[in-house]
Amino acid sequence: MKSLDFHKALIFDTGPLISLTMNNLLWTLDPLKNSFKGEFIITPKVYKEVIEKPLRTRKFKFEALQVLKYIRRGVITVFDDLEITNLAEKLNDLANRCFIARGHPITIVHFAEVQVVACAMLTGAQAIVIDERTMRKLIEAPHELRKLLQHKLRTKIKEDKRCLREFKELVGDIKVLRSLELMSVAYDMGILDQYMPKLPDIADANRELIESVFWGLKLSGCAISERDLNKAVRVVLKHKRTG
Amino acid sequence: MRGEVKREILEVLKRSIVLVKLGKVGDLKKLSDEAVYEASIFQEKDSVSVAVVIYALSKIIERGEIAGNFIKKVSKNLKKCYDLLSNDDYNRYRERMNSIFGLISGFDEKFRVYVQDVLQKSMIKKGSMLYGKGISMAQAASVLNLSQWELMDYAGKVDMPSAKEGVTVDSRMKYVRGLFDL
Repeated sequence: MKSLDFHKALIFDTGPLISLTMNNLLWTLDPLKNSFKGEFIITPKVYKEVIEKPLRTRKFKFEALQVLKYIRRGVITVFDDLEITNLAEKLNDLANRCFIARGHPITIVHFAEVQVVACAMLTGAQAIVIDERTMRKLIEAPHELRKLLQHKLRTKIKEDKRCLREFKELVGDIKVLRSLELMSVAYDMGILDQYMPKLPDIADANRELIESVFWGLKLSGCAISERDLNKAVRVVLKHKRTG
Repeated sequence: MRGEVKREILEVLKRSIVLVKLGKVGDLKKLSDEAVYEASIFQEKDSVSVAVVIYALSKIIERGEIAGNFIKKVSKNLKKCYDLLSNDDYNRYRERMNSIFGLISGFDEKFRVYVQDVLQKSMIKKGSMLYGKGISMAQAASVLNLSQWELMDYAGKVDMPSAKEGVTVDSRMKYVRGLFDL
């Protein structure tokens, strides 16, 4: 693990690496990184979850080796710094005291996910790439997250406004992307053209391709509603036409 | 163990004893789902274990090849769990809870692999339920002692509730294109 200075970076959580691997799209990180002209970073906790854990088992072992290949080649870099861990501890404490049920704070996020955020904050990364829903909602729409928790847990959820405010002040305007948005870029760049189906109507072929990629990612755990997925398809196709 | 968690587990055990005796598979599954609500709030391993065990038992009973005296033995062990927990004997309660599956393996050799599979799938299903209730993927995986590889593979195929997004599709797409100079 190296300590690096970088002017441009995306910090990846575990989820997108899993989604991309399960859809045989991990290879797109190579050309994407070249185009991005920055670093694709993971934290040690993400490394442990994506690589070390499955290497100790039989299931998903080969998938872990596939990701490891990209780490060894330097497409993905593991970054570690004590400051990140210290900040993550503070954020973790705040995040997991934001919502209260029956007088008890609910642990809604894991330290590993918080560490991704802390890493992005301290490195000035352009975005975190995270496929699961809860951290994204906590950053972007905490009140909506409270509503979701209240509805699904069937119990009154209170917000600790001080914790929410402090968390928000610390994370600031951090941007969140998913594997789906990265693949929309891959599609735009023509990287996925090799998969274009042979259909009489090129518009249909484009739609088939991008829909299949997005649905593949969604079914592998990328959190996007069907409505937003359909919207994303329209946005991508429109951009392709007007490009 | 928190008082609230203990009370909830006792209630689940009491109901499960009856349902196992009656072979009420559907009701056992519902009971397991209810146990997940408590598990989601407090995320204590005991709540999660009960939810997993009850669900796994429902799947095994559903299979329909279980002999009558097995049901009696499981019910007896669930009753023992209930008694131990009522008396705050947490360590022996946990041992007894763990031994329920040892009981199945000992009862019929051919079930061992099946039971392990059922147990693993039960854990993944319950982990997915935790995620569905708003707990993050990594946290849900951690509570059930699963890998995120396993959980994402399953959770992605389950219809998850969505909440209103804080950032629109258009603006996220616009931002990412800007990063790549597109």
